[in-house]
Amino acid sequence: MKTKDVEFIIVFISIVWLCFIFTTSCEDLMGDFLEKAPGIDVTIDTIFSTQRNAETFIVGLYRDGMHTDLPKWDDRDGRRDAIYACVTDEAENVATWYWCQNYNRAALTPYWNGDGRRWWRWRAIRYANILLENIDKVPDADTEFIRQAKGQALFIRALNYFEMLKRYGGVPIVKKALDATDELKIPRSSFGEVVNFIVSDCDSAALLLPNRWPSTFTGKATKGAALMLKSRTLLYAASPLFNTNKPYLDLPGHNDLIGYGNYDKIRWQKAADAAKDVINWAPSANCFLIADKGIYENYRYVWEMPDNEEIILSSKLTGVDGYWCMAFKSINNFYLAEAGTTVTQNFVQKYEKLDGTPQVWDSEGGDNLSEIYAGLDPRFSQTIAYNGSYWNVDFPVLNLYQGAVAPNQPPLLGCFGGYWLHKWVPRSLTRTTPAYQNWYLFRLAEAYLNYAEALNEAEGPVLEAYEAVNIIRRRSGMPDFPHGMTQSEFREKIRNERTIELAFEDHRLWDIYRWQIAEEEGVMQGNMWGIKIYKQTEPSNEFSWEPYVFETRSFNKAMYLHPFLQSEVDKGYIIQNPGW
Amino acid sequence: MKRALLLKIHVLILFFINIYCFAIPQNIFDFDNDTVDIVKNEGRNIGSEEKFMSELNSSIATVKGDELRMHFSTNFGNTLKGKLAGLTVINGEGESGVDYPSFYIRGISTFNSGRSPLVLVDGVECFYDQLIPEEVESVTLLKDASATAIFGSRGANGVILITTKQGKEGARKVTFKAQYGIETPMRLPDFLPSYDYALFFNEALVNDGYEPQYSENDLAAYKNGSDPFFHPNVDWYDQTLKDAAPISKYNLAVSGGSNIINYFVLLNILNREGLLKKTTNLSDFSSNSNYTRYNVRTNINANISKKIFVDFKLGATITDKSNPVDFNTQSLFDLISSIPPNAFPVYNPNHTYGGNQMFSNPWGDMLEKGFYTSNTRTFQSLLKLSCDLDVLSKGLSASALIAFNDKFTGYSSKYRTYRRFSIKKDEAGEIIYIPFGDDTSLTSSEWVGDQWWNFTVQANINYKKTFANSSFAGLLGYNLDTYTISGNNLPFKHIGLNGCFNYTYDEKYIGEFSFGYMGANYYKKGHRFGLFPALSLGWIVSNENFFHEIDYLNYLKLRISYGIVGNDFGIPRYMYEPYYAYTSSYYFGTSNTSMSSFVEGRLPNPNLSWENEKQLNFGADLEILNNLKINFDIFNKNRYNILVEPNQDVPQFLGMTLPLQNIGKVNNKGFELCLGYKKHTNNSNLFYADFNVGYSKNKILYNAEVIKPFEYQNRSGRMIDQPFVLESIGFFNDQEEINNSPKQVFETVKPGDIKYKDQNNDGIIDQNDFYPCGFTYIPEVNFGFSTGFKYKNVDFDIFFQGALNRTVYLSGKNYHAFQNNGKITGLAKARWTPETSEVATYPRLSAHNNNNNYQYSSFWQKNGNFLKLRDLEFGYSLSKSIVHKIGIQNVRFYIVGSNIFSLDELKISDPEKLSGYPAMKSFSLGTNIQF
Repeated sequence: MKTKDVEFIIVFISIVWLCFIFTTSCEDLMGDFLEKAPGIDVTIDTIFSTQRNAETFIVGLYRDGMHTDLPKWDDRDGRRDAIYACVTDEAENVATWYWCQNYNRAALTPYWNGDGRRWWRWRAIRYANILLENIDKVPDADTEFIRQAKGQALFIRALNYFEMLKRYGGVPIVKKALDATDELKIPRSSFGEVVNFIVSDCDSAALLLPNRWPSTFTGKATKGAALMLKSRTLLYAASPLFNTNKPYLDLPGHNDLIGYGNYDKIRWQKAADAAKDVINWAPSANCFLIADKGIYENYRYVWEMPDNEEIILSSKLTGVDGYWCMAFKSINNFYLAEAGTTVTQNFVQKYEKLDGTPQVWDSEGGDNLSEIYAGLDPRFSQTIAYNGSYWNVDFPVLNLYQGAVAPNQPPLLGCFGGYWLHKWVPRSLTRTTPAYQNWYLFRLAEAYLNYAEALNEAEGPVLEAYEAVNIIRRRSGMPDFPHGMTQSEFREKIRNERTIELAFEDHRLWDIYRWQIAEEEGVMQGNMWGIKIYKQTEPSNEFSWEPYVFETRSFNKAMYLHPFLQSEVDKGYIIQNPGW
Repeated sequence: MKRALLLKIHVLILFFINIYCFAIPQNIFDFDNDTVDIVKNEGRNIGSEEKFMSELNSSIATVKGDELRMHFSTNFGNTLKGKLAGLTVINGEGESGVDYPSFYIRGISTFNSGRSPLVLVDGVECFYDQLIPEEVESVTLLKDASATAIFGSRGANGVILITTKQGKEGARKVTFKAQYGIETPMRLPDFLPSYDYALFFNEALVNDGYEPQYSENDLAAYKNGSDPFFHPNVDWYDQTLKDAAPISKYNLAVSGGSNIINYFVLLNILNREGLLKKTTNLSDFSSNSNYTRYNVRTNINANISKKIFVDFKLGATITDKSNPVDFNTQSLFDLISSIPPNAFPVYNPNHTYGGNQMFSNPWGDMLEKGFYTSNTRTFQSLLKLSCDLDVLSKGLSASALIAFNDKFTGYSSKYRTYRRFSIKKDEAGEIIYIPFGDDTSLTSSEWVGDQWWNFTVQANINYKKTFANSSFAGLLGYNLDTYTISGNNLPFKHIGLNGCFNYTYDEKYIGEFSFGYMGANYYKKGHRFGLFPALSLGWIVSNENFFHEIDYLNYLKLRISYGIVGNDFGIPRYMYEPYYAYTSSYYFGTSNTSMSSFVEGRLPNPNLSWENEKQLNFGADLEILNNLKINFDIFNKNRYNILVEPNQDVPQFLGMTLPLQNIGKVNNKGFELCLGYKKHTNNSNLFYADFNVGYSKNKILYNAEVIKPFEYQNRSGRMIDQPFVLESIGFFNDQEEINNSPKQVFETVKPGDIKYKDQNNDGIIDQNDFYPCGFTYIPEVNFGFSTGFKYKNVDFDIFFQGALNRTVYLSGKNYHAFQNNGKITGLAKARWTPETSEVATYPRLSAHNNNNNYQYSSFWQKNGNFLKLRDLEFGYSLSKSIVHKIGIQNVRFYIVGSNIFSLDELKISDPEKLSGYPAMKSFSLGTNIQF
């Protein structure tokens, strides 16, 4: 062999050998270079190392765990542009291509189920579980802090379960912060189990939470909020949709997922007791019905003044904002002439006259519109922007009659109902002045209405039921309920009262569902009416009106419970609700 | 400002010192020319044209820096359009200084964000936007696995190697080049004047059910222009933009060398004023728009001793940019393409600025909003020592390289607001002025913008051995680099080994194995390193004996390569750790105070890794009749391990952003073809023609997407970024047609609105009817064609570039009439009306943002194919006999144009620039003097 070839072989072998050495131990040889430098990363241990960090974590619990019906420009609410009232007989959204129309024409599907928070709720529940599992570790936390933190976590968990319960019925119960490696095929629990789970969380939270928070922490869950949530949960659970042996649709073998499967009057009694607990609790927290501003201002004060004494818990997801923000825009934005919420005539007709009798609206129309308005329940003018009403300093008189398109008038186009909604847009919001508005989850008036409704179902129209509802009516200048009604007469009256008092507060859709009245004409099915308003010739100041159908809606029985998303069903752990 | 000036002086001094240095006596050492072979910077024998055909099995494409000289652009990337088969260059912003074109090699192979190739300057990762063609020797595209495996987890998107010029042994060559010209917009949007605007706006209002807004008197006033204050007609493009803007470029290069030291020194000044009118002489509160860049480069290679060689490269640039209104012109272009022509006059009767509550005055903005300057500096340095180790073994050599690159941008502004007035007449006819904004004094602010730097170390061992009828070449390399980008504190780090072993037998059969073994600091320990091997085989058929019979075919080589390469561009780092982030807040308290909160980040995945790709490439290289060269490549790339969220499997009640997993798959296949013809006739006369085309077609194979209700809604099985649009099937002609058609839910439909196809036949046109249609903005086919000749003293070059299978989408104020209270374009003249229903090409007008017609639909998709005359150059050299008398080697005068015209279907705007700063064409005169 030539020397040159030997040389070559030696070099070649050394190279191969070097390769081998490097590739086997390279990662160790060079690994240090790739180590991550110490950073400012926050891990779960950092969070539960100080009370201060844990407090910051709790803020996140609210951020993801609280919902608002007032749209905000944020990915935590999948429907960013309209309030839930627009899928019921309360209102219509001007932008007829918005999501609301999927309800109104019964076009929910397992691919679009109208639930924008479906993922965020699970995230909030996860945060609550993380907190419950770790809060005891915080070394510098006092016991009071730990108790309250747990109370808040339990409340947020219960709240988000309730929001799912009312949409879907029974859902999987997740009691711990899961890892991707855990067994993840958790099936749906039965409706009753979820109700019990929520009630049990509420009971525990009520023992841990304070009656009031210092003013810097207003917006945190109180004992009252936990009691209120329990009251609403039990009221819903006792309602015809769930408290029945005949579910709205049959789900063979799994009817326990969509209701109790039997009727039990005791459930109404429990609901009444829970509502009574709230009423009894209120004085201890200085929580009371606003009744000192005058009958034409009391009701408005409750929604226009954030953090007033009637509010038990409000959602504080947004700060001060101008007229362009999503919340105000979705109600009415006269400045940008964009979208808005137009109230239906179907809804306005639910307002009684000042004497407590129904206002009869002639099907042919009439020529005394201002007169009718002046004679309605004072809550009408505190809720709705109608022809001739005051909006704010920029729009002192709203002209909603045909042909009234002068400068600075709100657009008539899209005002299908002949009304706009005023509730939620404070008068202080003007072109130049921003305002802030909290949507509230719970206010004390609801407890009275829950009580009256549940008691009537449990015991019939007893005096206490009358008393509870009359308190609500009196502060708005409405006469007491007439005595001597039958249970079903009382039921109709209290339902109307609830609809008026809690209007546009995200109650109506769920009340319609739980009362199973969606298919009644003009509720979620059938004609939606508006009125066309005409100015009479001078010198008359009156306006004529003429009813017309602006939309015919459809409803599908399956919609009493929302569909689970098909992509979730396909993962194999969910039994879909019936009809989807 | 002062600092920048000092730096400029400093750089100039450095430049002259360099020139002085090279004037010293030479010929001290024996210099080995091979060691400066540019390719060794990459440690590989690639990039050198002579060796291209015979020794390599890889798929590559190369262009000389000189071939890029014609194209005038402030960004080097733009000059590469159409020059390299397989490279797609997508236009950037177009405005100097903020213009960053993007590159794709062989199209796109991942649906995630990391789609760009690795770009190396002299073998080191580096920014390249600031380079000029005059300092670039060549640009080489590495396309297949055998060429890119050594780049390990960064090679799968392809690699672009930019090599800067070196001095060559020989007499000193001094070249001075001066070029001056003008540029003008290729196409400007065709907005209609006030009369047409008012007429059409009235029509739109009536269509929407409102009363017309403009009376006959108004229309008349717009038509005859008798009332310029209350019935203005302002063309804001005319008001703010010049018709043409000057561009200039001055370049001095000195190069030469001896057998011990070679040098290349360059100074370049590039200036582009931009389209905005000059304003400084009209106002105390405005700076002219201007962009100037100084490039300096000194590349030296020298022998330190007989066995040790050194390469030393320094490149630096300083960029000054100033603007009125803002640091860039984006907001100005937004504004001038929004304001209706009749909104307000430029100046009111009392010579204040016009304005209203919706729009500020663009001309006022230019004159009054203050000064905005930005200053960018880049610095590149590279030192390489090579050592001949023949003493150990003949053919053995080693080299070591360190490189440091830095880029910094600083911003400085003096900002103010100013007052505009809206005017109206009161009952008495007096003019009332309603003010908007306030006159304020200047506020200054300065901040650091981009700041990034990297540091690279490389070491190579080379071995070359020739036997009787075969040869072996081997290389083993070590590479380490860290890359720090401001705002992203932890540097991006890569470390690893690479190697390449080539065996050639009888000049016929070539086998090559190459590999990269690379680690990155993105992943968990134990998952950081990967091995990326590639194997290639080549057969030079024309060297076979039986082949010698065919005399028209001078050369034929067939090659095949297969390998696995990785891609870590766009891979989020440190995903193996669970973490929490601070985020926006909740408003606790009666005072509505915001509190921040923690948010749990994405669930970790300790096994997270890079994307991998299996690449198969067949190629053939031919030479026919000594003049025609043909290269053909066909490839099939299978990308796998693409990061996606496993949305299909994990239940939502986990309550977490799911961990990313390496489970996505994409296939990408295509071909490239290059034809080159070159004919030298007697002396220096020359004719050439080059054509190249690249085609690539990708398809998502798996992306774990959420199941959709209808099959056509799925992204998998389709191309990456497939547009999903409503399919437009004409206009509704009457109410009856509307009643008989599926309901379109977006808005109440009227005659003249766009009619969409009901893809799922459910009687409703909604979100479920969005259908895959059209191509993407990134073309599937790119081609370039250049030809030219040199005859006696005259030379001529022409270059065309085009793209096919491309779709553009027209949206926004340049195309949608009256959108956001904006203007109306000429396009809308062909709107639908009952009378023109047969011939209409634009939906009925609507005075608001029409939610039916402005849906994302095929109506607004247009064919984006184009063929552009990119460059044209005509030169004349003075007779050598004359110039030699005055001591000059060569004098050449030339006229050159860039982006001269575009053939396309779009016509209303440039298919590569749909809105904002327009695409520009330029014409320049220049002279080239060589001493």
